Amino acid sequence: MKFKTLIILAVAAFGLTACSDAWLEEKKLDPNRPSEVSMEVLLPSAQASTGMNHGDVLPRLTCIFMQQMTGTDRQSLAHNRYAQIGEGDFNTPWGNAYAGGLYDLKLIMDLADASGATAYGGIAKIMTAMELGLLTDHFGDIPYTEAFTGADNLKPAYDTQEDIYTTIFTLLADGKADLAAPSSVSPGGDDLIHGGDLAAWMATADALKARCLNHLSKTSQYDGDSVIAACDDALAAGAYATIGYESALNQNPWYQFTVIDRAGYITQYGTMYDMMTASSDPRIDLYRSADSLELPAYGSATSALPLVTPFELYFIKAEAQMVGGDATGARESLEDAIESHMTWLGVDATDITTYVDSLQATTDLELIMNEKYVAMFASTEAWTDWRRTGYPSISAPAGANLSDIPRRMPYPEGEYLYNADNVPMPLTADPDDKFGVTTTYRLWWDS
Amino acid sequence: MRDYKYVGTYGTGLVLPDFYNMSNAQNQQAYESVTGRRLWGTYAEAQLDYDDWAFLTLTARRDQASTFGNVSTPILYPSASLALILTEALDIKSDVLNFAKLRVSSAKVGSEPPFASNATYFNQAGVGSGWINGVSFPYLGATGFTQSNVLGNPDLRAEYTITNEVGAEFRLFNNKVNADVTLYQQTSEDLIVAVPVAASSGFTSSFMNAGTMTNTGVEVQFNTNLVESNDFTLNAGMTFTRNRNKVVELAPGVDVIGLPWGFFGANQRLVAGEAYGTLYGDDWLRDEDGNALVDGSGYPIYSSTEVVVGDPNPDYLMGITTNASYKNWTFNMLWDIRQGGDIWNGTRGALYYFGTHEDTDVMPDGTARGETFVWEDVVMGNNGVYAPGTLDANGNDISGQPNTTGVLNDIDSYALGPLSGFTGASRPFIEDGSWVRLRTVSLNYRFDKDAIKSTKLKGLSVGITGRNLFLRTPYRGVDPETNLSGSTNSQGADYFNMPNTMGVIFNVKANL
Repeated sequence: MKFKTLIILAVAAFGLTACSDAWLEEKKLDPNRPSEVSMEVLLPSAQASTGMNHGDVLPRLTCIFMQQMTGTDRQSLAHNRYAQIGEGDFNTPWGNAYAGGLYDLKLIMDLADASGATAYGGIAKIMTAMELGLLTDHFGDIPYTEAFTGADNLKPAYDTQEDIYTTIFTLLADGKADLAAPSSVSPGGDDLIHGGDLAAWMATADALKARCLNHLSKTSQYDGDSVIAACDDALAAGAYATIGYESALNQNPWYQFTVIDRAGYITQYGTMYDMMTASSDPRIDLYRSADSLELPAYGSATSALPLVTPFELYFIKAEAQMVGGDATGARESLEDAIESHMTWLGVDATDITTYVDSLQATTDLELIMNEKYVAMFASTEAWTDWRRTGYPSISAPAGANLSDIPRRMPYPEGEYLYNADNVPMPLTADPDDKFGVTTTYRLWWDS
Repeated sequence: MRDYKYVGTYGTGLVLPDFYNMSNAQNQQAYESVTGRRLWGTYAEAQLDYDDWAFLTLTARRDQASTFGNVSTPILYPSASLALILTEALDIKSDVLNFAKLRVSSAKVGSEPPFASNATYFNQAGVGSGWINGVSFPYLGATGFTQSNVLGNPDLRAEYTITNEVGAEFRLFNNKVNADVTLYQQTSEDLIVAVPVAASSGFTSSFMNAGTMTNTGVEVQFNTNLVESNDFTLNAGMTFTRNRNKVVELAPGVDVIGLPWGFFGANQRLVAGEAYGTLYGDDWLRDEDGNALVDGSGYPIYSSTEVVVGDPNPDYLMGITTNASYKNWTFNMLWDIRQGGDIWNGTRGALYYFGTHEDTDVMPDGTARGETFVWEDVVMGNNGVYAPGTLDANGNDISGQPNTTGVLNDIDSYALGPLSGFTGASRPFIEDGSWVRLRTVSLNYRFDKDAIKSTKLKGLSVGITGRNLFLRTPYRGVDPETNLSGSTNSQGADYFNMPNTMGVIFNVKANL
């Protein structure tokens, strides 16, 4: 017998598994995280996301484009020369919206539909319109109709910007109608923007409608009277929508960038500062600290981030009146806008009067847009206004890697990699195209 | 069964100096995390031993795991290995061939999906960016939850790896020489990966059985006892590994899997037919022969289309050890060699942009700052050719002719031109990451028992060890052994990473 050993080990016999399934089921799900949540926790999450998208990557870049801030170090210095603005930079705001705030808002709409919580549904629709507006004004065509479908469709098609604008107006109208209807449950402290004040949300809807209608100024759809009407609707109810920040954690995103995390990357020099200096603008000390690194009014730790404001609406109204030939009305709205803004910032009444009296006597679109440019500092609207009107009259800085100021943001890299068939603008091999996409390409409403 | 529970709290804004207690923190946050997994396994093994020269081992295993969407899903995997000791079987008794063994094995190993991949959850909300921390909940007195960016998958199948191996082991010349050679071929199927997806789907990644990958390679170990006497021993050894990796296929609907650097510049991808983590990046426009196209100003023309620019996987790895001892002295030395393996030197790209790299002062070819040079393409080793439509000063079409236009080594080329990592292509910053490194060298002296008799010590030795004292590499950064994303699966990126430390360690070891 040459077989010296023959060992069979059987730890357990096969097939005895029936009892094991229940034992395994006990540990199947993650105990740290819920798989279903309520509207009360989704709404603040979506609002935090909206705040970040309105206060972090996008406005910082547009303020550099618009020469309201100057990139003075590291990547911001490159951004100042329109270099290193690549597809990779936009994964964050795009992801914060689509895989964050916008998705949570969609879930709120679904939950609200199922439970008759029209107050939540209405707010979610208005906020969705706000977020879609921000995205389409930066990127152009964006997914919406096929977005948020998860495993059913991981490659959503893009809606045209024209269709997105239609969607925005529909969402705003439906949102207002929802808010007017009785609701099974209403938000309170979980609404970080309006604290559950539904009338304020209706005013926000009107303000967004006025803003978006005004964005169509270059298109055949533009209707100045409806812009003015929407402004009046919003202003009648007072139209502040802001989101707050905290002193120790969760500070204002401008503060986090300019003071905490990226001090010295951007400073407040450039066209806006020069204009304010020339006009002895009393807001200078509120805009920038003595060392020009901090933004006292817009970028202290607890500065609230404005989403829509009455002064923006007065400016929108002034523009529509001016375009419509009503220079007198436009002058009145312009002065209302400046007073509203300066009062909001806490400028002395006498200084406001001095400043308003010192404005050029002739009211024209350039005056209105230049004043709006100063007031809309820290918002992406200044860039949109420049693209629509050409004011302020600025051009690319010396040494820039492009001869023209960018007119759109490149789509994020994640879309080019994982949704390549649907991204409307292919990556080009255009010799003049440093970004991989033509940032000087004009959006639908900019053509 | 494995269960982990983490509970903790942290505070910021301590008021009293040097008083480290949570009661002193202005902001306190608590966290709790419990992860756990249950496995139900049955296992059988048979070992057959024939006449002390043939050994056969068979195993079979069946697992069930709590991490499947359907916990009844079985993971079945067998293995078989056969070893033959030829010197026994053929009854070889020789001073030359002391021992010879052949082995063949085939093993399949299955693994279950990772914890929490079987469903989509809601996370405590937080919104940040690469620039700032952003906002995290609780925020403004509210509790916030957001749907996870990771789409769970209840239909995941087990992931299997099948390894086929042939090996041989020899001892020669009175056991003075040992050699071990292994050839392997490994196929991984149904790889479970959180595949990145377009964020517009509502998710940034989705768990999938994402594809099939193979690894084929050879491992060689060689050891020789050159001298063996009472006072003096000397042996030298070598290891050699060569691995070839290939992504065979990706799941339907998955064209590419990007590995996470989250960074501007070159990036790593999994694409069918290519090696794992192949480096992609932008390049210059090129003609059919691969020559870079240069415009009339003498600068290459940027192409935004990302192409394969490098392979971070090395051609081979080698280690060489030398151990010697003479009386009470011992000496050890380890050389570490890597051949090939590309690295994106993002540090150089950034320093070019800022004008702080030494090349922007004096270029490798000797061009000083402010002097003129003709741009050279590192890929083809020439100056590129003029792009179609390029005209010279006299208006003559010089398309396709070699570029001879001088450009300045100054800000126009770097920060404002296409030659920096921020403003130009990433391909010129792909470098060979080969190295020859003296990983460790050490010398130790052990005191005789007699010498320490008067002490109560049972043993005493002193020594000196040097780490990374020598490095030879064509890589132009600080150290090619580097990884931007730490211990993740991605490799081959250097962006201001910390290099290895060079050090000398003195040690005294006493046994009580």
